Amino acid sequence: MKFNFKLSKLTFLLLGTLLTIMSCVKKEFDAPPTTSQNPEIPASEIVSLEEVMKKLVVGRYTPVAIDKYVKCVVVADDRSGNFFKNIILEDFNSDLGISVLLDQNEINAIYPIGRTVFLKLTDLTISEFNGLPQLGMGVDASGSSPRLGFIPSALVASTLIKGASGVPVVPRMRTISTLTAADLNTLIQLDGVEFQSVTPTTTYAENKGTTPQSVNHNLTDCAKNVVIVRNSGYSDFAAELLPSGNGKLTAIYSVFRNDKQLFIRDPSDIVFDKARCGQAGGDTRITAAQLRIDFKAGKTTIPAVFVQGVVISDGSNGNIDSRTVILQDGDAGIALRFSAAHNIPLNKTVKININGLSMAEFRGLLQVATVTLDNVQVIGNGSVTPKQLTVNQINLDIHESTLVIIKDAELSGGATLGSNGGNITLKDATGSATLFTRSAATFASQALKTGKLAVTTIVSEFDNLQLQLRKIEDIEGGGGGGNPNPTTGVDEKFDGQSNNADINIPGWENIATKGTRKWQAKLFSGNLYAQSTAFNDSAPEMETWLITPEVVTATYSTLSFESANAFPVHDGLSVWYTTNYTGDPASTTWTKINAKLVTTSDPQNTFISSGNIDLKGFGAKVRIAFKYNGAGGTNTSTFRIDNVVIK
Amino acid sequence: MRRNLKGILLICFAFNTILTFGQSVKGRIIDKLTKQEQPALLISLDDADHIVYTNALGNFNFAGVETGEHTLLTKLGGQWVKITSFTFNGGELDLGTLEADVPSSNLAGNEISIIDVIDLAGIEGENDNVSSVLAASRDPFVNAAAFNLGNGRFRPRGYFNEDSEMMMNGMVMNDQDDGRVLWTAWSGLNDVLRNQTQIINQSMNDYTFGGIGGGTFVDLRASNQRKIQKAVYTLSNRSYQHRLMFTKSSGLMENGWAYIVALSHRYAEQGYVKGTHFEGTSYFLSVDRKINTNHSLNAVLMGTPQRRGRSTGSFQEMYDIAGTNFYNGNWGYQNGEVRSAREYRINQPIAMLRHDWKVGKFSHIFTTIGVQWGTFGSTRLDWYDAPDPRADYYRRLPSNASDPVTRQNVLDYLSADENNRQIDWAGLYEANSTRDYTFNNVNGDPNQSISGKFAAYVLEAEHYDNQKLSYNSTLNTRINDKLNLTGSLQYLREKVHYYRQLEDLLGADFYMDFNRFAVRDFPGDNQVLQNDLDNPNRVIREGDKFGHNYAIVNSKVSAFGQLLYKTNKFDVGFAINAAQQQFYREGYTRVGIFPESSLGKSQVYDFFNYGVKGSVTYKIDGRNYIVATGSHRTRSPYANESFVSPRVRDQVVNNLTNEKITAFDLSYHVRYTNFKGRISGFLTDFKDRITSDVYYNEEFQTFVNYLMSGINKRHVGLEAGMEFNLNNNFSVLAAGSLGDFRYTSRPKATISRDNSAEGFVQDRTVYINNYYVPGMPQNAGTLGLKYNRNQTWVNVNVNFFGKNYLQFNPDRRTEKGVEGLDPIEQAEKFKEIIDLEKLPNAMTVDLFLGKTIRLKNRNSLSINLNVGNLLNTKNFITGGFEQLRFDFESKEPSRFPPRYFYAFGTNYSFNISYTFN
Repeated sequence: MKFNFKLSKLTFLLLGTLLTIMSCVKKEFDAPPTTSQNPEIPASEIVSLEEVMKKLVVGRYTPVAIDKYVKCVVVADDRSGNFFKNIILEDFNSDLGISVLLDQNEINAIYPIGRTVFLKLTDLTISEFNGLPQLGMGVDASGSSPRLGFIPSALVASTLIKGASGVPVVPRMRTISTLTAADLNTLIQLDGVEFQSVTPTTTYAENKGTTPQSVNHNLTDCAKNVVIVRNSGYSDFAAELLPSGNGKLTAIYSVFRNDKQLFIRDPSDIVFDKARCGQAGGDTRITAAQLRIDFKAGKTTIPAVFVQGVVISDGSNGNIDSRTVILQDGDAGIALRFSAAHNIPLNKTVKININGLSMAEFRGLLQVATVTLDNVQVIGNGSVTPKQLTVNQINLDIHESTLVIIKDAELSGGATLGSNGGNITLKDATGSATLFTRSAATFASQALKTGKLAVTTIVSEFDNLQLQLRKIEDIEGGGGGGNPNPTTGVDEKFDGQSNNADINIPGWENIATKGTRKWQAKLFSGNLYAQSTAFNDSAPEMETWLITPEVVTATYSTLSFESANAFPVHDGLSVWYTTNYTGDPASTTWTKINAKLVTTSDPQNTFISSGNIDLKGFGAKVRIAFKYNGAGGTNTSTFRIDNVVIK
Repeated sequence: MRRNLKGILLICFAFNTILTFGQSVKGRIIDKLTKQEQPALLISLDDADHIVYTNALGNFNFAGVETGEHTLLTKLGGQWVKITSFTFNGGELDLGTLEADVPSSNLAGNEISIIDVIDLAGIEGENDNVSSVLAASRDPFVNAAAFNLGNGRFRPRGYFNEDSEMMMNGMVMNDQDDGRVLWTAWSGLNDVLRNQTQIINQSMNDYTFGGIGGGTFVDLRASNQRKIQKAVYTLSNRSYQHRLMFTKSSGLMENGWAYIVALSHRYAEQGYVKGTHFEGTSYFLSVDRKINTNHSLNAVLMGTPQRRGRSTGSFQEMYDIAGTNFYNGNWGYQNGEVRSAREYRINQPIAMLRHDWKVGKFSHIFTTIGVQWGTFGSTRLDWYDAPDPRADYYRRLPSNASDPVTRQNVLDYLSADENNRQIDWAGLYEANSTRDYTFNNVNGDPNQSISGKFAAYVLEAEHYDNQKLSYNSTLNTRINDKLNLTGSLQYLREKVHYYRQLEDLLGADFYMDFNRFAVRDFPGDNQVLQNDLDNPNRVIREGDKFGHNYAIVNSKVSAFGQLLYKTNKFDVGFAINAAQQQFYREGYTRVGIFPESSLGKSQVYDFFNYGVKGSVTYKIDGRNYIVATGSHRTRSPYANESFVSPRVRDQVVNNLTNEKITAFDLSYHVRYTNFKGRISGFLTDFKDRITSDVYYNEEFQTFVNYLMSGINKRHVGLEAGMEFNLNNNFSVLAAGSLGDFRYTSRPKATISRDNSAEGFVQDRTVYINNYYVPGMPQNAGTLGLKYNRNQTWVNVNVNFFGKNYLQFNPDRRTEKGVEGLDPIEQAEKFKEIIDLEKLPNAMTVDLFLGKTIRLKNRNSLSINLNVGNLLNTKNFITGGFEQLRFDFESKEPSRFPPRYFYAFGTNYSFNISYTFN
């Protein structure tokens, strides 16, 4: 018994010891040293790139067959995506550079700009692609025509032997006219250059979802020499705006057949901070307020300055002349008159060179004339919060060409915004003013909304105070509106809407009466439609209305639409009409339409046609509403509406 | 709850008085030493004319006994041992409580019966779906399937892990979100898990309705184990090299207490496959307190914290280059030491409390509350703006080069040096050290920016931390000699927390919580690239969670009832089961790409399920039986397979439906003293199964979710097992199964991307009707010779595996897969795309040698050697899978070749075990 007791203790001891020893086996790994150093390759093993270039035979894939190395430095990598599966190396021992094809993405993580590379020549192949010398490995015959093979990813490390990083990379100074074949595949810098045609919406390339497009832009100097700057649609800067000034550009020089081409590494390679050719000056900023003061003081010719601000005019709706830009700069604003129609969008921050231009009043409105598109440089996006004023508070000296919002306003003096020559009266408790709408405005035929309104408007002058809308959404609240004497029916496929955004169609209403959710545009399999769902809604109840414009049933008497559901748990969709829309669905008298709707037994995500519904008996003028009722947590079905047609 | 049980009991007792007793002999067996009742003992009346098993209470009952002299025997340690003799004069005879000297393991008494099939599983798949076996049963076929055929990934009747139920003390261990069992959570504790009952297929049992493949019930009570002290050392070349195991069991002590303490440590610098290290400690504590004759309590705490390196299947091309089918691309040398990038880090302890209550003479209720918690992570490399670092990335292979000279260059390079085929850790550190990035608007703060070494490569752990809560009450009652009732109530709640955690920056300064896939799809959009919109541009460092972060919460309430009626000629059993299951997703981050449907709790999905099963045994005579069983049940879709892309949003598959499973089998059993055997025919129909697979799509550069619904399968086959004792020393064992497991429908596939709400393929028909079900040999068999004399054992088994098909890519078996091909003109190509790959048949030989030496004071020393694959077959493909990618342009299947797993070559485990008092 005693013996066993001892043995038991002994075993515990033994076990404990072993467990301790074994548990102590380390599993933390040391970090390997990462100081990058050049490999020990004797100078006798290193040749100049000139030796390699001698092997190049146009139209052939020639094995380099030199069992040595070229010592080079990476001057362009694929970090921005403008280079793809190739990097550009410059030789330490000659003035030459070369493009090397690698079957690898994101090469920059291993071979960033400034890394020394010892290029092992043994298995490499040299050829020319439309005039551009390239190094690769073997010939890829898998396509329709043979091409130079990429260095396979397994061999990248053993072919491009890593050396020290952080080598300074200095571009060579060139001019467009002095670029020669010896500069191919090297980093060059051009000074005093600008893009030949650049508008405020020109982007580096076209980034269009699944089909990005590369774009060539002509670059010129003031002597009108031209070279192409080519940008990949896959680059991460493809959608950025092209700079419009003049200055220096660093890039890799390349060639495609007879075209000289430049490839930048990323947008920081372009520093266009000078005025364009022929427009020297404009290096100093003047505020819009200062311009107004200067004008009052009798100075009508503008010195070498630029003005900068946010565009508050929206040319796309036709209510502002296509040659006018209204720019708000802080609390002041200024109108600028262009020599031709521009397409500068709303809410862009722009810098406009107004060196030597003149100021004058047109029927009381101060304008700078005549601006050309070359003078405009888009800096980015901006926004202006309209200042809340009463009619009486508006002072043309201060507020002209700025954005204001007038609350509790009422409109009168015409059936539509465009009636009475476009002059409608806007009245609030303090006074009244003219709200002017051009006949060319897209919303000129919209009926006046009734009730108390909040109106966002540009303060303008036409002999007297004149207010101008930018878009129909500038009028908020109230009732009525829409199409009083409709000359069109409805044919809405929702294709003009943006995915995941609330439905917003002129003449339509999209109003939440319970909860906050509205009808949204949704994209599925390339089709856009209107959707409403209480799924994951935090509000206890959801009721939302999608209401068509008013139609005259004598002309447009047949309604049809399609409905679909997803994850159905309840009946939440209904269709209604009214002959007397008050502007608020809650106070409007609605009559239910017994239309054929999707049911829970129908397959999900499949649109069911309503068939044709005759509207003739409903009244002379009707509006149709699609109402969704639901509740987050319980009644969460998703309903969809598409192809609403009244004809 | 309590009131319900009382109600049930009342009904039971009422039955008891109504029914009359027959010509029967009954009794109860307890262990001589521990005085504990002995469940699942094989009891024979007169040389196996009548055989029964004791139930959970140790009770047995023979019906229809003839009058006269009888001997009662039980099989212990492989031998029939006489318990008592008696004279029966008819009526009802109660032999009362009988004692038997039951060894702590009443199995064959050697180590071979307890193995961890994970240890033998060869190279694992990405989804370790290896069935594991803790112990064998007394059925020769089940035994053989577990120990001899398990290595070849044989799955009896084609049933998977989720088709069997694993219960410990009443706690269900199957994960609710995928039905699978984390066997690792109790690995290394073999010696204390022996008190178990194997539930074979649809057979009636005292615990549970069970899966279609039955299940395992392990009794963890300390008082139910014999007093023992045991130390074991194991030397092996499987998943570990060394194992030290110590067990001390007190048995039931006079003061009413009992305890078991078990500790084990397993360690391997390297397992069978290079780069697979192992380090794990296992602990187990079970304490019993017998309060009085009717009540006892048991508490258990166990855990197996461990880390182990993984090996994943590779391409044949890579195996050939490496010159071994055990190539593992998951590791590389770092400062001269093997470092694995794929490691499991598991620490999921289990604790439970059990209450046993004897109600009257004939009823027993036990109740268990169990919890499991902790962490489960699997490490991998992640990278941002950097080349794919994986050593066997397909673009690194020679076949990816079209120029024959270049191809040879790649081949030469990869063959030249092991390092060229493994992860270049130094290169990853070096890449991180040269990164110079600046991010503005860091952590959503416009005034904050960060500059420095933004990691190109990091080591991360994907976590699936599983927390379980289980409640179970089971009642067993004998209504009368013929009728037994079993019932249980169960509640399960499980929360699996899925997230990524940064483990090692590999020398960089920081990492960013960006969705690198969204960056490519939506360049310049700072919203969609955020993994967490509420913490945009978040800087992450070691230990931080990042990427996806959500939980799947499952809960289930179920009730089970079973009646078992026994007569002279027939045993009839009937059981029903009803369960209400629900699950939901809870997102912890608002994901940039799906801001509306990622944060917070999703809709709750509810499913009602039921099951019925029945069994009839016809006893032709005491030696020949015919057993027919049948069941029909429904099973909820698993949450894991229901969410379209759970990492980023809470959308589920359209029309979630319960799976329906119907199974029948008919068996003929023979039990003579020297010969026992069984032959069964079986048929199982699966209807409306859903599966979900995730893979990285090169074309879309994002994770793609491949969902199939409406999968129907029919598994038909024959299985047989027999054991024949040639004489006292030699016996022959033969077991095998012939299966025909096929799909019987054309499922619909829905493909969606993590980075797009567009379900870009909806309901694509997959033409696999009549295809074989892959993933297991449908035919397998073993032939064994056993020698046993004077505590010496020698077993040799020859195993055969056939009709195994490679896991296939459903998308190749679609209209799109063969679009533009003429089935007659281009028949060869057509077949190459749609035909399944049949894996070669294989044969292996296993050997077992064992010797037990009895020492004085009832101490003993056991030594045994267990050798798998004695002939060192190294080309035995046990499984693999076709990649889910397919080049629809070239229609060239070899462009994305399959990955294979191979069974280990000769592998062994050598045990020395010392048992002492």
